[in-house]
Amino acid sequence: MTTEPAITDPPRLEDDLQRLRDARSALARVVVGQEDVVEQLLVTLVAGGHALIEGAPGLGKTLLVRTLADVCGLAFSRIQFTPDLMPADVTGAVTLVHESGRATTRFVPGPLFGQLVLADEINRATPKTQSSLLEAMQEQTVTVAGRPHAMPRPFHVLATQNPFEMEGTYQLPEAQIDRFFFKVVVQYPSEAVLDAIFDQTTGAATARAPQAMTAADVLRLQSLVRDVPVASHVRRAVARYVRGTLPDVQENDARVRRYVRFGVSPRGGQALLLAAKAHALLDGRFAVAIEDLRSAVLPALRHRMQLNFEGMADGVVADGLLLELFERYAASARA
Amino acid sequence: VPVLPLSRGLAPLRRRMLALRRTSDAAWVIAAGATGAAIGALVALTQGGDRPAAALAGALLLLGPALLVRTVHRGLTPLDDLTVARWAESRAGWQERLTTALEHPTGGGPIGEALRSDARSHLELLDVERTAPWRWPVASLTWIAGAAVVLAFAGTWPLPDRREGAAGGVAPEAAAAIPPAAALRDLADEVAAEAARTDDPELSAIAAALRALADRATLDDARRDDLATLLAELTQRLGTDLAAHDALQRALRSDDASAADAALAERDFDPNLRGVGAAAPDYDDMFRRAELWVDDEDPEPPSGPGGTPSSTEIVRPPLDPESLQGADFLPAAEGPAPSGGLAEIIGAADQSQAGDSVLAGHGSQALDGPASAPEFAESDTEAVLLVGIERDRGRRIDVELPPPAEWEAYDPTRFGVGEWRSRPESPVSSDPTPLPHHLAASRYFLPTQATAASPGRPPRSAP
Repeated sequence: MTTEPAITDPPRLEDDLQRLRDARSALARVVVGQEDVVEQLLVTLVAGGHALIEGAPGLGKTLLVRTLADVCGLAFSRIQFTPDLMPADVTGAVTLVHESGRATTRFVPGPLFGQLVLADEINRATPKTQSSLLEAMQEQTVTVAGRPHAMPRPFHVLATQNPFEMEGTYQLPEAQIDRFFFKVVVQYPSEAVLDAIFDQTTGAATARAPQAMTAADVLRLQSLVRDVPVASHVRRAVARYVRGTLPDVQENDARVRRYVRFGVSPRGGQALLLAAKAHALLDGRFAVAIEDLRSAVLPALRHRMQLNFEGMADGVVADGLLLELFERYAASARA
Repeated sequence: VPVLPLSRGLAPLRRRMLALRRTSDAAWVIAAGATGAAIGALVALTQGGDRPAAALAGALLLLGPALLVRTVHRGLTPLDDLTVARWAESRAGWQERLTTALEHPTGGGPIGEALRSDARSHLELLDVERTAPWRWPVASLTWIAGAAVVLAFAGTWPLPDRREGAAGGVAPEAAAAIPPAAALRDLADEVAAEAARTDDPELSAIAAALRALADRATLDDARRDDLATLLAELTQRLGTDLAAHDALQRALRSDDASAADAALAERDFDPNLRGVGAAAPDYDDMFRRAELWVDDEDPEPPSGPGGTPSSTEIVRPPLDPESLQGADFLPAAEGPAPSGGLAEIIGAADQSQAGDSVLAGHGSQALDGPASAPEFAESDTEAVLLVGIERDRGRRIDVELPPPAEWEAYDPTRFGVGEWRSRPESPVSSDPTPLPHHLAASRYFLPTQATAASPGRPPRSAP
């Protein structure tokens, strides 16, 4: 059993931050050219959230998650979601076993009981199965046969979905997609990055990432993140920004009122601020800056603001609108 | 106390910010004053007036509000630690370190301690000269310089006549067309006195315009060229107004209440008729003095304040009214000229304005006759003729008539305005019953014809 050090131990703070930086370096060595994605996944991990990773097949999503588990010393588990996958296949089930010559029932945990769970192509499973996963994400427990079973700590779900093959998929409803802390979009790499990837992955030796921290370190960092203070003007800027995405507020931007179906929820604002705290810590600072917010705006809010039909028809991009609004509120915060 | 080191570390920056702010304030206020002075000088340059006084007034006019705005603005934006810290962060790129540390002076565990330590270490590196370098308020100084240039231009720019004077002076013809300022002032005083006596706003306005005209007449520049035109307009206004006065006076003297009412209705006189009973001034003289300068075709400067033009010669003392009983220019006395063809009637006096009654009158010879002295026999008309100057459209002839003999028996102290007849008040036609009550009563008691006459609907029964 791991003895968790007291987080108030001053010498450990710098050590923890160093481990975090080491983890980022180790990930960057394996996952080439995806620094932003690596940083966003680390922020998700340190902030204690779950991430929805979206990207075309073959961009290294599975490699990224597996490497993250290796670097952070977390128990990795993978579930390939298919339409016929049942909740019991994910959560586990109570089975009849014979022990000491007696028949008895015992709960056999499913693949969900890992510390870092890769839910591959989550949108291919039925809503019922998706719900079983989302309950575990939100409540950190799984109820089987009327008995709750706690998830291991830390517990993170990194779900992927393919944005192209939408036939035969079950789109996650907005209420469930809101439970993902980050939505990470994996972009197609540039030519130079592709060259580096080919060089690194087609040779005899492949790069492996060393373990940089343990699960206890992750838990300790998650506690530290919540201690990072926020200046009042930064907090007010987040509040104004989140409210500025609501289409029903008359004083909001005309484009928001015209094109947005629903704006960012308070949970989105919490995610933005928490992600900014984690980003500040990852950057070696102890105060949330506007730049931390800027780096977290898109992954934290892009799946929480939905455009209406007119917005989509007019070619409005949620990411662009979010960034444009953010720059306006950020400028007023520092004025 | 963990806050104090941060405050102490911010002190040099706060001092620099105060100095910058004071400099900016002073420059801003000076710019406002300079702008006001420039505007005042420009107004004086274009409109006429004392340019230094106008510049001073303009400066004072903007200085007060500028100081007030600055004071209120500074009161609303105090220079506290957070403001200074935010300034330092924005200039040095410290990313909310100082403001967060100032807002979280205690607690926060290891992160809080690290935060304050980080802020202090950054403050130790604070270089005031780099973070807040001394800079002059360039925008305000540029504005001040621009205003100073305008002020210098407006204060020293020679007025157009000065340039002409330097090049050779005002043309003698133009100078001759300009009436002397003293004469204009005398006339303005006289008109103002009459305006005060009769409470006539039109006369007051004319007096003020005459004074302004007199002020401009003192200027030695080319802008006096339009004085003659302005004076002509004023003279016309004066003639119209004096005609109204004249009509009123005549109506009062003839004890004709209806005529007096008509004259009062025509002009905006004081309803109490203050001063009407007193002796009226010589409107003719007043008008003639103004009219003498108005001759755009043949400008003739007067010989002095209220004087007679040199080209006009008084031939005889005033006419005896009795000898003019048959003259055409008198009311109801139109007929052939009484002077054996020597005289020619130009116009009847009762068809002209107050000033015209003097000017139009009895001529002594044909209009196309020679411009020499009139062939006028004293015994023929016993009138006084003032031979004017020949013009294209004829000869101008002035006639002075003495008042009728009965007027001399007029005693102003005995004169009284007849009693005002009060009209009966119009009957009150409004109904004291409020409209809602009417409507309610009509709905209840009196069904409308449409309702009562509509087929198929039973008539409303009485309650």
